[in-house]
Amino acid sequence: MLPTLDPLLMSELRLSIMSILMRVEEADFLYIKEVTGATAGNISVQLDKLSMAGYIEIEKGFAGKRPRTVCRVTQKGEEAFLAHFEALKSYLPKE
Amino acid sequence: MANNEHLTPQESIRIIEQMLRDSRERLVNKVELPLLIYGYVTLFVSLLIYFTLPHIGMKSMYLWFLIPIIGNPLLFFLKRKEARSYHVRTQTDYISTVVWNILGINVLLLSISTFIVYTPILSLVLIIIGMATAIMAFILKINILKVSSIFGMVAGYVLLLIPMNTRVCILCFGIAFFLMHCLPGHYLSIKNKKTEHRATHS
Repeated sequence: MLPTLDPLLMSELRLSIMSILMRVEEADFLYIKEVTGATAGNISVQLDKLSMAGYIEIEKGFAGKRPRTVCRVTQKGEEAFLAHFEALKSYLPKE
Repeated sequence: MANNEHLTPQESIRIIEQMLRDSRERLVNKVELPLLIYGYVTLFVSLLIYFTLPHIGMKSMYLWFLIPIIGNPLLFFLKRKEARSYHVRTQTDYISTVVWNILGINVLLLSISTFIVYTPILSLVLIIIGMATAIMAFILKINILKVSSIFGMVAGYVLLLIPMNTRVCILCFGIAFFLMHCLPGHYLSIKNKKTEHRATHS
């Protein structure tokens, strides 16, 4: 029987955000926006969903006078992403 | 990016790969700025001491403190100037900060202790800074920096073991620093500009 995939990571943008954050220690909203190319509103909604699930933590602060939103993957998020990735591999045809 | 809520496993794998690739292209290791600043400031101070030593004697040794006095504010100012619109911090950034802070503080303390007890400070500084550079070079896998850091450490041991005139020693120290930091710094600067250009236009 094939393993269940994480429904939260079945969204293109949420999966993209998690993939980006898995590679770095922390990244701000603008970096995520630049790499994904998605709209600010869309990113904001998906960040909230990931944060509500406990997959990421969001820190709102300031860089000089400009507001800055910094995101980090939590331990729970890291485990969920890795489990999802392992599950995905089992769906791919064996070489 | 449109938000497809029902990805297939194949699409998911493709997205993960694409995000990792796109992210990697933007995470250029910006190590050249500190290399260039401290390389040139050290060369400049070494030459300054080389030329002032015959006139003001050992008092010129206090000029070594110009390296952190000029280097630190200059690095802070230029880093702020080149800061991009976005912020991203990797594990490598964290390791780099820790390595340079620990070894940098030790270099400063050793330099101060030279005024109390005799220490072959120029050799020790070259060896310690060579070590810090080597750690970063091997972590970041930058070949030119691996070679230059080994050269710096060897130069440190040469200064330690071969007796030479103080002025010649100071001159060799400045040149060794220039070769260890400025040459790879310029090479990395050119290489990173090309990488950034490619990432921006892809």
